[in-house]
Amino acid sequence: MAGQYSSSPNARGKTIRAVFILFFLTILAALNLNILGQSVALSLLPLIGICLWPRYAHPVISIIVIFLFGLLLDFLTNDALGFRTLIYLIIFSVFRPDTRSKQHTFGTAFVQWLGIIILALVAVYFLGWVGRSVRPDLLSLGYQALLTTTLFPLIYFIRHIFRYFLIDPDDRY
Amino acid sequence: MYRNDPDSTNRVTIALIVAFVLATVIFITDKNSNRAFQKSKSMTDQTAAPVLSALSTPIRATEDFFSRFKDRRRALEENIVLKQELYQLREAKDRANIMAMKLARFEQILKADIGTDIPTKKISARAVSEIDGPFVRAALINAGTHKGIKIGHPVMTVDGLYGHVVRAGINSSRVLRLGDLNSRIAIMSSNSQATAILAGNNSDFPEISFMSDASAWAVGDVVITSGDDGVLPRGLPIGTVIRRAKNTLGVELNVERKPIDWVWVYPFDPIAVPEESLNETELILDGVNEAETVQTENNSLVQPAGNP
Repeated sequence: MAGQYSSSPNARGKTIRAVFILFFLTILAALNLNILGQSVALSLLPLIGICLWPRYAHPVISIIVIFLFGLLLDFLTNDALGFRTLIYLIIFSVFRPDTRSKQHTFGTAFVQWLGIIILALVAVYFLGWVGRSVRPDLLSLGYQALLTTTLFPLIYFIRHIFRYFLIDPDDRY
Repeated sequence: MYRNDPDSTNRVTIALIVAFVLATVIFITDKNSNRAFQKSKSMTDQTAAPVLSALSTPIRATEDFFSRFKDRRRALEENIVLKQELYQLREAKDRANIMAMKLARFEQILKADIGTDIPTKKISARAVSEIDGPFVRAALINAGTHKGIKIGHPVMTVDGLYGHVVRAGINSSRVLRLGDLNSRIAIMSSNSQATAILAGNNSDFPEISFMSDASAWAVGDVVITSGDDGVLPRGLPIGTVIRRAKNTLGVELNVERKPIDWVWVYPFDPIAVPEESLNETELILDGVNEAETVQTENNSLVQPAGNP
């Protein structure tokens, strides 16, 4: 199978970096943060990792990784197992980073992020409704979506800087 | 490039379908059976607690820095308020001491024990992960059965009741917070002594339901645990009554919107459930048999004690 990806520059390295970012965001989503006395929930944060998933990353491995990280966050947050996994898989299958033909600019990434967050909110709402027989608190969901969207440029910027300075120029995209 | 490779696209599609099916099976299994993944969840808590605790250290340091900065900024005005409060409290303390002496004397005369059942022992722990999700409001603390924590123990902060333990591992415990959808706590108004149930609704303001006397509840009432459920001790502070949308009453929790770091657990043992073997039918039958025996022996209508 590896032969099919011979034209993808350093597919394994990109997958590892994507896994690292997703791990970092998952841990951040599981921690309790208090900013200026306000409790801040960032459970949608790992979706940024999926939004910025490298297009040359091995897609089957990407699906396995996303599956496992969804499950990990469900375990860490004591949520229904499979809940986030399903949401991540829906996002991945709709936006399919591996089919992207061009490298992301901030504009395209942000527009895609808006699409992802809307789809994620709909998925959370209906999966919660069907799976738990209860409608989620819309205010809490909206607040989390807004907060994560505010953090999106920062994470994009950090990732960009990291890629620009630490990675070989031939191997950036 | 693989994008144009139909074999690869097929593999991705198959992988996606398999992942979807697997995730759905896990989701449905976990939803229908609370025990299905209990062991795995407990093991994950055990592993995650020290890791999250270590990772949260720099975050706590940053929070402390900002918190100290904020405290210093308003130190002067707080000092004036605290001085006034101190003078009032000195007087209140003197009165309380006199009342305590009187109460002790009355208890002695009446031979009554009206002391609080809140344990004096506290088990301190650190909240390493707090979840404010649309469906779950829980927290992970880094203390477990090795410190004496058991399922059902109340978890407190300096501001009031935070939740209760729903899963206790060796070194970590999972806490169900008051706002969680599955949380139900027996409460009372400290002003009117009216009782009710505090039902979590995954919002910042849990709802007051099953009120014993709806007219006895008013906005601003201080809410404490009633102890009626036999699970939590009586008198733990919870919050104050507020009016919610649709004219229902809710509680503004004392712990809400405040940084939660250190907590303590009260090792409160709930009131034991009577033995299952002694069900109601057996008790009645025993009573009838005893009554018949006594009647036969004494040839009189004497009923045994405790069976009217």
